[in-house]
Amino acid sequence: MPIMQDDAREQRETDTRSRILDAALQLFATEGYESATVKRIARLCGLTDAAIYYYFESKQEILSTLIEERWNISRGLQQVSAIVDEPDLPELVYRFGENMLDAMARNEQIIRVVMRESLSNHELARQVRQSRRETWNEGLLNVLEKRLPRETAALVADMLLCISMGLFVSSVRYNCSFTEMVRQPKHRERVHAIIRRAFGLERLRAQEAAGQ
Amino acid sequence: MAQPAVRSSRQRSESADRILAAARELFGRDGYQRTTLKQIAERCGLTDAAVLYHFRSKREILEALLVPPEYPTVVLPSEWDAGAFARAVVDLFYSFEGHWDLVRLIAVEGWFYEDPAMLGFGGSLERSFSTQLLPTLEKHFPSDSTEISYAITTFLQGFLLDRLMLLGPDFDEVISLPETRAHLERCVSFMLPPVPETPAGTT
Repeated sequence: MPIMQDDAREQRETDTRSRILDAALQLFATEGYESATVKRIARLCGLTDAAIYYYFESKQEILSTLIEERWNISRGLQQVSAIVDEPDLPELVYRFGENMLDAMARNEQIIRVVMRESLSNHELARQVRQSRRETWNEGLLNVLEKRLPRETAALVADMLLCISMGLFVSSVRYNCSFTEMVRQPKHRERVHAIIRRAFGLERLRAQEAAGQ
Repeated sequence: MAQPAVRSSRQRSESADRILAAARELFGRDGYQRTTLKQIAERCGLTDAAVLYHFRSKREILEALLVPPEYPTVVLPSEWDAGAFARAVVDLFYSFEGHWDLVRLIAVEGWFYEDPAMLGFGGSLERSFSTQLLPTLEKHFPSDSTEISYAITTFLQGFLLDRLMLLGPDFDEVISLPETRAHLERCVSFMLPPVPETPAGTT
Protein backbone atom coordinates (compact mmCIF):
# COMPACT_ATOMS: atom_id res chain seq x y z
CA MET A 1 0.00 0.00 0.00
CA PRO A 2 2.90 2.47 -0.07
CA ILE A 3 1.71 3.93 -3.36
CA MET A 4 -1.63 4.93 -1.91
CA GLN A 5 0.09 6.53 1.01
CA ASP A 6 2.22 8.55 -1.38
CA ASP A 7 -0.87 9.60 -3.27
CA ALA A 8 -2.55 10.67 -0.08
CA ARG A 9 0.48 12.64 0.95
CA GLU A 10 0.74 14.29 -2.40
CA GLN A 11 -2.90 15.26 -2.23
CA ARG A 12 -2.43 16.67 1.23
CA GLU A 13 0.52 18.73 0.07
CA THR A 14 -1.41 20.07 -2.90
CA ASP A 15 -4.23 21.08 -0.56
CA THR A 16 -1.89 22.79 1.86
CA ARG A 17 -0.12 24.60 -0.95
CA SER A 18 -3.37 25.90 -2.29
CA ARG A 19 -4.55 26.89 1.22
CA ILE A 20 -1.38 28.95 1.59
CA LEU A 21 -2.05 30.64 -1.75
CA ASP A 22 -5.66 31.39 -0.77
CA ALA A 23 -4.62 32.90 2.54
CA ALA A 24 -1.84 34.94 0.97
CA LEU A 25 -4.10 36.29 -1.76
CA GLN A 26 -6.70 37.29 0.81
CA LEU A 27 -4.13 39.06 2.98
CA PHE A 28 -2.36 40.74 0.05
CA ALA A 29 -5.69 41.96 -1.28
CA THR A 30 -7.09 43.31 1.97
CA GLU A 31 -4.02 44.58 3.76
CA GLY A 32 -1.34 44.94 1.15
CA TYR A 33 1.68 42.93 0.16
CA GLU A 34 4.00 44.89 2.41
CA SER A 35 2.13 44.33 5.67
CA ALA A 36 1.19 40.71 4.97
CA THR A 37 4.15 38.89 6.52
CA VAL A 38 4.87 35.20 6.07
CA LYS A 39 4.09 34.83 9.77
CA ARG A 40 0.60 36.23 9.28
CA ILE A 41 -0.03 34.10 6.21
CA ALA A 42 1.02 31.07 8.26
CA ARG A 43 -1.26 32.01 11.13
CA LEU A 44 -4.22 32.54 8.80
CA CYS A 45 -3.96 28.98 7.50
CA GLY A 46 -3.01 27.42 10.81
CA LEU A 47 0.57 26.55 9.84
CA THR A 48 4.01 27.43 11.16
CA ASP A 49 6.35 29.78 9.28
CA ALA A 50 8.61 26.79 8.63
CA ALA A 51 5.76 24.92 6.95
CA ILE A 52 5.25 27.82 4.56
CA TYR A 53 8.94 27.77 3.65
CA TYR A 54 8.62 24.10 2.79
CA TYR A 55 6.39 25.14 -0.10
CA PHE A 56 7.69 28.58 -1.01
CA GLU A 57 11.11 30.11 -0.81
CA SER A 58 9.86 33.60 0.03
CA LYS A 59 6.88 35.93 0.10
CA GLN A 60 7.96 37.15 -3.33
CA GLU A 61 7.68 33.58 -4.63
CA ILE A 62 4.16 33.31 -3.20
CA LEU A 63 3.28 36.46 -5.12
CA SER A 64 4.79 35.27 -8.39
CA THR A 65 3.04 31.90 -7.99
CA LEU A 66 -0.27 33.68 -7.42
CA ILE A 67 0.26 35.72 -10.55
CA GLU A 68 1.09 32.63 -12.56
CA GLU A 69 -1.66 30.39 -11.22
CA ARG A 70 -4.44 32.70 -10.14
CA TRP A 71 -4.53 35.18 -12.97
CA ASN A 72 -6.05 33.43 -15.87
CA ILE A 73 -6.21 35.52 -19.01
CA SER A 74 -6.40 32.72 -21.53
CA ARG A 75 -10.18 32.47 -21.16
CA GLY A 76 -10.55 36.19 -21.75
CA LEU A 77 -8.39 36.01 -24.84
CA GLN A 78 -10.34 33.02 -26.13
CA GLN A 79 -13.58 34.96 -25.76
CA VAL A 80 -12.02 37.83 -27.64
CA SER A 81 -10.87 35.65 -30.49
CA ALA A 82 -14.48 34.49 -30.81
CA ILE A 83 -15.73 38.00 -31.55
CA VAL A 84 -13.13 39.27 -34.01
CA ASP A 85 -15.38 38.52 -36.96
CA GLU A 86 -18.19 40.69 -35.67
CA PRO A 87 -19.00 42.82 -38.72
CA ASP A 88 -20.36 45.82 -36.82
CA LEU A 89 -17.40 47.81 -35.47
CA PRO A 90 -19.13 49.60 -32.56
CA GLU A 91 -20.60 46.28 -31.46
CA LEU A 92 -17.15 44.72 -31.68
CA VAL A 93 -15.55 47.41 -29.49
CA TYR A 94 -18.40 47.12 -27.05
CA ARG A 95 -18.09 43.36 -26.79
CA PHE A 96 -14.35 43.56 -26.47
CA GLY A 97 -14.84 45.89 -23.50
CA GLU A 98 -17.42 43.55 -22.02
CA ASN A 99 -15.03 40.59 -22.26
CA MET A 100 -12.20 42.56 -20.77
CA LEU A 101 -14.35 43.57 -17.78
CA ASP A 102 -15.47 39.97 -17.29
CA ALA A 103 -11.86 38.83 -17.35
CA MET A 104 -10.96 41.49 -14.79
CA ALA A 105 -13.86 40.42 -12.59
CA ARG A 106 -12.76 36.78 -12.67
CA ASN A 107 -9.30 37.78 -11.48
CA GLU A 108 -10.30 40.71 -9.30
CA GLN A 109 -8.26 39.95 -6.20
CA ILE A 110 -4.93 39.29 -7.85
CA ILE A 111 -5.44 42.29 -10.13
CA ARG A 112 -6.03 44.50 -7.10
CA VAL A 113 -2.81 43.25 -5.55
CA VAL A 114 -0.76 43.70 -8.70
CA MET A 115 -2.19 47.16 -9.46
CA ARG A 116 -1.64 48.43 -5.96
CA GLU A 117 1.93 47.17 -5.78
CA SER A 118 2.52 48.52 -9.25
CA LEU A 119 1.48 51.97 -8.01
CA SER A 120 4.02 51.61 -5.23
CA ASN A 121 6.68 50.75 -7.81
CA HIS A 122 7.08 47.10 -6.82
CA GLU A 123 9.24 45.86 -9.69
CA LEU A 124 7.69 42.43 -10.30
CA ALA A 125 4.17 43.85 -10.05
CA ARG A 126 5.00 46.60 -12.52
CA GLN A 127 6.45 44.21 -15.04
CA VAL A 128 3.50 41.85 -14.79
CA ARG A 129 0.92 44.56 -15.08
CA GLN A 130 2.74 46.04 -18.09
CA SER A 131 2.89 42.72 -19.87
CA ARG A 132 -0.84 42.05 -19.24
CA ARG A 133 -1.71 45.49 -20.47
CA GLU A 134 0.41 44.87 -23.55
CA THR A 135 -1.38 41.59 -24.23
CA TRP A 136 -4.80 43.26 -24.19
CA ASN A 137 -3.55 46.23 -26.15
CA GLU A 138 -2.12 43.99 -28.88
CA GLY A 139 -5.33 42.00 -29.01
CA LEU A 140 -7.30 45.21 -29.46
CA LEU A 141 -4.96 46.66 -32.06
CA ASN A 142 -5.00 43.45 -34.08
CA VAL A 143 -8.73 43.77 -34.45
CA LEU A 144 -9.03 47.53 -34.73
CA GLU A 145 -6.23 48.20 -37.20
CA LYS A 146 -8.06 46.17 -39.81
CA ARG A 147 -10.97 48.57 -39.67
CA LEU A 148 -9.71 51.93 -38.52
CA PRO A 149 -6.89 54.26 -39.48
CA ARG A 150 -3.84 53.34 -37.43
CA GLU A 151 -3.93 56.38 -35.16
CA THR A 152 -7.62 56.07 -34.43
CA ALA A 153 -7.17 52.38 -33.63
CA ALA A 154 -4.49 53.26 -31.07
CA LEU A 155 -6.72 55.95 -29.58
CA VAL A 156 -9.73 53.65 -29.24
CA ALA A 157 -7.59 50.88 -27.73
CA ASP A 158 -6.09 53.23 -25.16
CA MET A 159 -9.50 54.64 -24.28
CA LEU A 160 -11.00 51.22 -23.78
CA LEU A 161 -8.11 50.16 -21.53
CA CYS A 162 -8.36 53.36 -19.49
CA ILE A 163 -12.12 53.18 -19.13
CA SER A 164 -11.96 49.58 -17.92
CA MET A 165 -9.36 50.66 -15.37
CA GLY A 166 -11.52 53.60 -14.28
CA LEU A 167 -14.48 51.26 -13.87
CA PHE A 168 -12.33 48.83 -11.92
CA VAL A 169 -11.59 51.39 -9.22
CA SER A 170 -15.01 53.02 -9.33
CA SER A 171 -16.63 50.02 -7.64
CA VAL A 172 -15.46 51.36 -4.25
CA ARG A 173 -17.98 54.15 -4.77
CA TYR A 174 -20.82 51.66 -4.84
CA ASN A 175 -19.57 49.87 -1.79
CA CYS A 176 -19.30 46.60 -3.63
CA SER A 177 -16.62 44.58 -5.33
CA PHE A 178 -15.87 45.07 -9.00
CA THR A 179 -17.15 41.54 -9.65
CA GLU A 180 -20.51 42.48 -8.12
CA MET A 181 -20.55 45.69 -10.07
CA VAL A 182 -19.99 43.91 -13.37
CA ARG A 183 -22.57 41.23 -12.59
CA GLN A 184 -25.38 42.94 -10.68
CA PRO A 185 -27.99 44.14 -13.15
CA LYS A 186 -28.43 47.60 -11.59
CA HIS A 187 -24.71 48.40 -11.84
CA ARG A 188 -24.09 46.38 -14.99
CA GLU A 189 -26.46 48.59 -16.94
CA ARG A 190 -24.53 51.66 -15.95
CA VAL A 191 -21.17 50.09 -16.72
CA HIS A 192 -22.32 49.16 -20.18
CA ALA A 193 -23.90 52.54 -20.79
CA ILE A 194 -20.49 54.08 -20.17
CA ILE A 195 -18.77 51.90 -22.72
CA ARG A 196 -21.44 52.61 -25.29
CA ARG A 197 -21.34 56.29 -24.47
CA ALA A 198 -17.58 56.53 -24.81
CA PHE A 199 -17.60 54.86 -28.18
CA GLY A 200 -20.59 56.62 -29.70
CA LEU A 201 -21.95 54.43 -32.45
CA GLU A 202 -22.20 57.14 -35.09
CA ARG A 203 -18.68 58.33 -34.43
CA LEU A 204 -17.05 54.94 -34.73
CA ARG A 205 -18.96 54.26 -37.95
CA ALA A 206 -17.85 57.57 -39.38
CA GLN A 207 -14.23 56.82 -38.44
CA GLU A 208 -14.45 53.42 -40.05
CA ALA A 209 -15.86 54.91 -43.24
CA ALA A 210 -13.07 57.51 -43.26
CA GLY A 211 -10.46 54.81 -43.03
CA GLN A 212 -11.69 52.91 -46.05
CA MET B 1 6.76 91.72 24.49
CA ALA B 2 4.41 90.97 21.66
CA GLN B 3 7.12 90.57 19.05
CA PRO B 4 8.75 87.32 20.19
CA ALA B 5 5.35 85.65 20.34
CA VAL B 6 4.63 86.63 16.75
CA ARG B 7 7.99 85.39 15.61
CA SER B 8 7.61 82.07 17.33
CA SER B 9 4.19 81.51 15.82
CA ARG B 10 5.58 82.25 12.37
CA GLN B 11 8.44 79.84 12.98
CA ARG B 12 5.93 77.26 14.02
CA SER B 13 3.97 77.56 10.82
CA GLU B 14 7.15 77.48 8.76
CA SER B 15 8.17 74.17 10.25
CA ALA B 16 4.63 72.88 9.85
CA ASP B 17 4.88 73.71 6.14
CA ARG B 18 8.23 71.98 5.94
CA ILE B 19 6.78 68.89 7.59
CA LEU B 20 3.87 68.87 5.16
CA ALA B 21 6.14 69.24 2.14
CA ALA B 22 8.39 66.41 3.32
CA ALA B 23 5.43 64.17 4.12
CA ARG B 24 3.89 64.79 0.71
CA GLU B 25 7.09 63.85 -1.01
CA LEU B 26 7.60 60.69 1.04
CA PHE B 27 3.96 59.56 0.98
CA GLY B 28 3.90 60.11 -2.76
CA ARG B 29 7.10 58.18 -3.33
CA ASP B 30 6.90 55.33 -0.81
CA GLY B 31 3.22 55.33 0.11
CA TYR B 32 1.55 56.31 3.35
CA GLN B 33 1.91 52.93 5.06
CA ARG B 34 5.61 52.57 4.42
CA THR B 35 6.53 56.09 5.50
CA THR B 36 7.32 56.53 9.17
CA LEU B 37 7.09 59.64 11.29
CA LYS B 38 10.83 59.32 11.87
CA GLN B 39 11.54 59.51 8.12
CA ILE B 40 9.42 62.64 7.83
CA ALA B 41 11.29 64.22 10.74
CA GLU B 42 14.66 63.30 9.25
CA ARG B 43 13.72 64.67 5.84
CA CYS B 44 13.04 68.12 7.29
CA GLY B 45 15.83 68.05 9.84
CA LEU B 46 13.60 67.95 12.89
CA THR B 47 13.26 65.55 15.78
CA ASP B 48 10.27 63.23 16.11
CA ALA B 49 9.20 65.27 19.11
CA ALA B 50 9.29 68.49 17.10
CA VAL B 51 7.07 66.92 14.43
CA LEU B 52 4.66 65.67 17.07
CA TYR B 53 4.50 69.19 18.47
CA HIS B 54 2.86 70.34 15.22
CA PHE B 55 0.85 67.25 14.34
CA ARG B 56 -0.40 64.68 16.79
CA SER B 57 0.19 61.75 14.46
CA LYS B 58 1.16 60.65 10.96
CA ARG B 59 -2.56 60.44 10.30
CA GLU B 60 -3.01 64.10 11.17
CA ILE B 61 -0.25 65.04 8.72
CA LEU B 62 -2.02 63.09 5.99
CA GLU B 63 -5.32 64.81 6.69
CA ALA B 64 -3.66 68.22 6.62
CA LEU B 65 -2.45 67.43 3.11
CA LEU B 66 -5.94 66.92 1.71
CA VAL B 67 -6.41 70.38 0.25
CA PRO B 68 -8.22 70.43 -3.08
CA PRO B 69 -6.45 72.18 -5.97
CA GLU B 70 -8.28 75.15 -7.39
CA TYR B 71 -10.23 74.40 -10.55
CA PRO B 72 -10.34 77.14 -13.18
CA THR B 73 -13.84 78.39 -13.93
CA VAL B 74 -15.10 76.90 -17.16
CA VAL B 75 -16.26 79.53 -19.62
CA LEU B 76 -17.61 78.21 -22.89
CA PRO B 77 -19.29 79.72 -25.96
CA SER B 78 -23.08 79.56 -25.82
CA GLU B 79 -23.24 77.42 -28.94
CA TRP B 80 -22.03 73.84 -28.66
CA ASP B 81 -18.37 73.58 -29.51
CA ALA B 82 -17.00 70.09 -28.92
CA GLY B 83 -13.38 71.17 -29.34
CA ALA B 84 -13.72 74.00 -26.82
CA PHE B 85 -15.48 71.68 -24.41
CA ALA B 86 -12.75 69.03 -24.67
CA ARG B 87 -10.11 71.69 -24.07
CA ALA B 88 -11.99 72.89 -20.99
CA VAL B 89 -12.15 69.34 -19.61
CA VAL B 90 -8.44 68.89 -20.14
CA ASP B 91 -7.73 72.29 -18.52
CA LEU B 92 -9.66 71.11 -15.48
CA PHE B 93 -7.64 67.91 -15.50
CA TYR B 94 -4.39 69.84 -15.55
CA SER B 95 -5.35 71.86 -12.49
CA PHE B 96 -3.87 68.80 -10.74
CA GLU B 97 -0.47 69.73 -12.13
CA GLY B 98 1.86 70.14 -9.16
CA HIS B 99 -0.48 67.92 -7.13
CA TRP B 100 0.18 64.57 -8.79
CA ASP B 101 1.64 63.19 -5.58
CA LEU B 102 -1.74 63.84 -3.99
CA VAL B 103 -3.44 62.03 -6.86
CA ARG B 104 -1.14 59.04 -6.37
CA LEU B 105 -2.03 59.04 -2.68
CA ILE B 106 -5.75 59.03 -3.45
CA ALA B 107 -5.20 56.15 -5.87
CA VAL B 108 -3.22 53.98 -3.46
CA GLU B 109 -4.87 54.80 -0.15
CA GLY B 110 -8.38 55.53 -1.42
CA TRP B 111 -9.00 53.28 -4.40
CA PHE B 112 -6.92 50.36 -3.20
CA TYR B 113 -6.76 50.50 0.59
CA GLU B 114 -10.24 52.04 0.78
CA ASP B 115 -9.17 54.54 3.39
CA PRO B 116 -12.40 56.47 4.14
CA ALA B 117 -10.73 59.89 4.43
CA MET B 118 -8.92 59.46 1.11
CA LEU B 119 -12.01 58.08 -0.60
CA GLY B 120 -14.08 60.99 0.70
CA PHE B 121 -11.49 63.45 -0.53
CA GLY B 122 -11.24 61.77 -3.94
CA GLY B 123 -15.02 61.73 -4.19
CA SER B 124 -15.31 65.43 -3.40
CA LEU B 125 -12.67 66.27 -6.03
CA GLU B 126 -14.58 64.24 -8.57
CA ARG B 127 -17.88 65.90 -7.71
CA SER B 128 -16.52 69.41 -7.97
CA PHE B 129 -14.88 68.40 -11.26
CA SER B 130 -18.22 67.26 -12.69
CA THR B 131 -19.99 70.31 -11.31
CA GLN B 132 -17.84 72.46 -13.57
CA LEU B 133 -18.94 70.51 -16.65
CA LEU B 134 -22.57 69.75 -15.94
CA PRO B 135 -24.23 73.12 -16.69
CA THR B 136 -22.84 73.10 -20.24
CA LEU B 137 -23.73 69.45 -20.77
CA GLU B 138 -27.22 69.92 -19.36
CA LYS B 139 -27.82 72.78 -21.72
CA HIS B 140 -26.83 70.91 -24.88
CA PHE B 141 -27.60 67.30 -23.92
CA PRO B 142 -30.44 67.46 -21.40
CA SER B 143 -31.19 63.74 -21.43
CA ASP B 144 -27.61 62.53 -21.56
CA SER B 145 -25.60 64.96 -19.45
CA THR B 146 -25.01 62.80 -16.36
CA GLU B 147 -23.92 59.88 -18.44
CA ILE B 148 -21.50 61.89 -20.55
CA SER B 149 -19.98 63.46 -17.48
CA TYR B 150 -19.72 60.09 -15.80
CA ALA B 151 -18.02 58.54 -18.83
CA ILE B 152 -15.50 61.38 -18.95
CA THR B 153 -14.60 61.21 -15.25
CA THR B 154 -14.36 57.42 -15.37
CA PHE B 155 -12.05 57.65 -18.34
CA LEU B 156 -9.87 60.31 -16.71
CA GLN B 157 -9.54 58.34 -13.48
CA GLY B 158 -8.65 55.24 -15.44
CA PHE B 159 -6.15 57.22 -17.49
CA LEU B 160 -4.49 58.52 -14.31
CA LEU B 161 -4.34 55.06 -12.81
CA ASP B 162 -3.03 53.49 -16.00
CA ARG B 163 -0.30 56.07 -16.49
CA LEU B 164 0.73 56.10 -12.83
CA MET B 165 1.37 52.36 -13.11
CA LEU B 166 2.84 52.47 -16.58
CA LEU B 167 5.17 55.44 -16.15
CA GLY B 168 6.12 55.07 -12.50
CA PRO B 169 8.73 57.70 -11.63
CA ASP B 170 8.44 59.32 -15.09
CA PHE B 171 4.77 60.15 -14.60
CA ASP B 172 5.16 63.84 -13.73
CA GLU B 173 7.39 64.49 -16.70
CA VAL B 174 5.36 62.60 -19.32
CA ILE B 175 2.00 63.87 -18.15
CA SER B 176 3.03 67.48 -18.72
CA LEU B 177 4.16 66.90 -22.32
CA PRO B 178 2.10 68.68 -24.97
CA GLU B 179 1.57 65.28 -26.69
CA THR B 180 -0.13 63.91 -23.59
CA ARG B 181 -2.40 66.91 -23.47
CA ALA B 182 -3.28 66.56 -27.14
CA HIS B 183 -3.97 62.85 -26.65
CA LEU B 184 -6.35 63.60 -23.78
CA GLU B 185 -8.18 66.20 -25.84
CA ARG B 186 -8.68 63.70 -28.65
CA CYS B 187 -9.97 61.09 -26.19
CA VAL B 188 -12.44 63.48 -24.57
CA SER B 189 -13.65 64.73 -27.96
CA PHE B 190 -14.25 61.14 -28.94
CA MET B 191 -16.66 60.68 -26.03
CA LEU B 192 -18.77 63.69 -26.92
CA PRO B 193 -21.74 63.32 -29.22
CA PRO B 194 -20.96 65.07 -32.53
CA VAL B 195 -24.10 67.18 -32.55
CA PRO B 196 -26.03 68.77 -29.67
CA GLU B 197 -29.41 67.36 -28.70
CA THR B 198 -31.07 70.76 -28.85
CA PRO B 199 -30.48 72.86 -31.95
CA ALA B 200 -28.20 75.83 -31.38
CA GLY B 201 -29.88 79.04 -30.34
CA THR B 202 -33.07 77.55 -28.93
CA THR B 203 -32.16 78.18 -25.31
